[in-house]
Amino acid sequence: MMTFLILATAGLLAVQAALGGSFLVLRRSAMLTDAMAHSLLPGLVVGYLFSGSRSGPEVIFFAAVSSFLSAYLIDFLNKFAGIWFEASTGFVFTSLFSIGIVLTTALGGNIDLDADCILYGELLYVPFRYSSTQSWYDLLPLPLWNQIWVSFAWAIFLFFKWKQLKIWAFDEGFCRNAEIQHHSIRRSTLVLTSMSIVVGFDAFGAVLVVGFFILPAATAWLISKTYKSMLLNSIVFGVGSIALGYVLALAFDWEPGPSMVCVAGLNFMIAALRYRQKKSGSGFRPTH
Amino acid sequence: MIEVKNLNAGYGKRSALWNIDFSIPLPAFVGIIGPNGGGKSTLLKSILGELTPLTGSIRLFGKPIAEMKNRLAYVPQINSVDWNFPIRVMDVVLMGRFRPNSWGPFYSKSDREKAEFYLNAVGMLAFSKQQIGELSGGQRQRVFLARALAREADVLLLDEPLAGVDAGSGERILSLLSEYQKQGRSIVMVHHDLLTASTLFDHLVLLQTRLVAAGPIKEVFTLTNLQTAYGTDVSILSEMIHKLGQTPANLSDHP
Repeated sequence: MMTFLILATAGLLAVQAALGGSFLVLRRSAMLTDAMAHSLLPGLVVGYLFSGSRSGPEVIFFAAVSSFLSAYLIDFLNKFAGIWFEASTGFVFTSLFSIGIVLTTALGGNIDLDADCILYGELLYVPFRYSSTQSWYDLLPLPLWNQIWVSFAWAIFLFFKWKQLKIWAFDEGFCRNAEIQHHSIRRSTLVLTSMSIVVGFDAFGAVLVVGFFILPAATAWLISKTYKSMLLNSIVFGVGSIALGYVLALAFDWEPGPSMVCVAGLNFMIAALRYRQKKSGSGFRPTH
Repeated sequence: MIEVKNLNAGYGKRSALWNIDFSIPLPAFVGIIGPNGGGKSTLLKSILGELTPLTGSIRLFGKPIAEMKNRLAYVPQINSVDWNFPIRVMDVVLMGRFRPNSWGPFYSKSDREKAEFYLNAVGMLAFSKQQIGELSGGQRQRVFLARALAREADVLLLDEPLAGVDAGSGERILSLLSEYQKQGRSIVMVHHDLLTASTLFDHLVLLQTRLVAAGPIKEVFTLTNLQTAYGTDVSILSEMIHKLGQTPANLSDHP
């Protein structure tokens, strides 16, 4: 049962990350997830101050806001101030992450946040964290509920905006012509992405969440011919890495989160090498 | 009716078009011609609303273009798109059938039929299941043309749709455009080949950063106007006008 709860939580995160990651990889802004994962820290601290717990709805709300704001700020600096995308990304997330660290230490021992749990998460504690409200909500652990709600939001968004997302991802110029509000599509994608990052961060930690956003999507991108197959492939790679990584972790007594990401990374390497063979001589996929 | 009033447009503070004023009744097949750097693409981008004019206004059917975007269709410049994108030719053309009020993940059967129809019209139906990156430059151009046609918009804007297209498909595209225009729709097209221009269009806009002339082709396509715009060797131009007067039908056979 515990294995099931852990795998269900990780599996749902992998599905969300595959979807969000695919759009970001296609829009060539995959590293935004890294920035967003680090930038949630100040929000986490503020949420902690409000609620006194590490996983309440306040924490999730503030962390998601702070992570979304970082993406917004990066876009703003890039588009309106004309600062190079990488430079504005580097500036925004290091600043926000540092502010978070400063806030954490300023509060001293009052806050139960340390570098280890920020970076690696606490996947093995997932089955022990319940809402303790004495209701049907106690049927499943809190992290799993969080994953279920965010997955549900993704499903609704994809169902209603499938065509718009595809057009936006492929050809932003055509959005203007077809009267698609591409700014709002991008914003909605980033809001959902930040929610996935925040609920995933709780279990996996910042670094591993980024791995799940980028690796399966990038792997799928290398081997897929259509948009639909890319999304499906990235889900398969994500969920597959979770299952295989967990088995390896049990067998060799490794940390489960990192071993899942290792499997995803290995997957990507194999796909990249095969891709290189197929396009022999042309090297890695060119940008144009 | 397309009305351009006192238009100054350009990039940054540099103006590429000066004081453009003209109006052309629609439906029409309008050619925008002129030498390189004459502001042809700038005018097209301004009509499309991609480029905000420095001064002046453009109205389509009596309304500002910002309100008329759903009645326009255009073919983007080929380098603005990521060719490694995992998408099939058919899916690109289906985008042309998107309507802002439509929701849900699927296109209707009639949308698919329209997309197939236009894909066939540009001679690319056999490639409908290929990934867009597997096509050649000219083939990609035709797919994007099919997407623009599939919008069935009142005004189709094209920026040199024949660039990089082989002669056979070029002819096919031109006859397709004439057909499209005969259905009561309009085409505004940047074009550089004067020989085909003389038979293809019914209205012309002749640009050399300023407006040289605009109106029905008979009034615009004259030796004096072309000389003003191109400043080229008079004999070539006069020979061309001469040929045009005698055997206009044969001119389109030339490359």
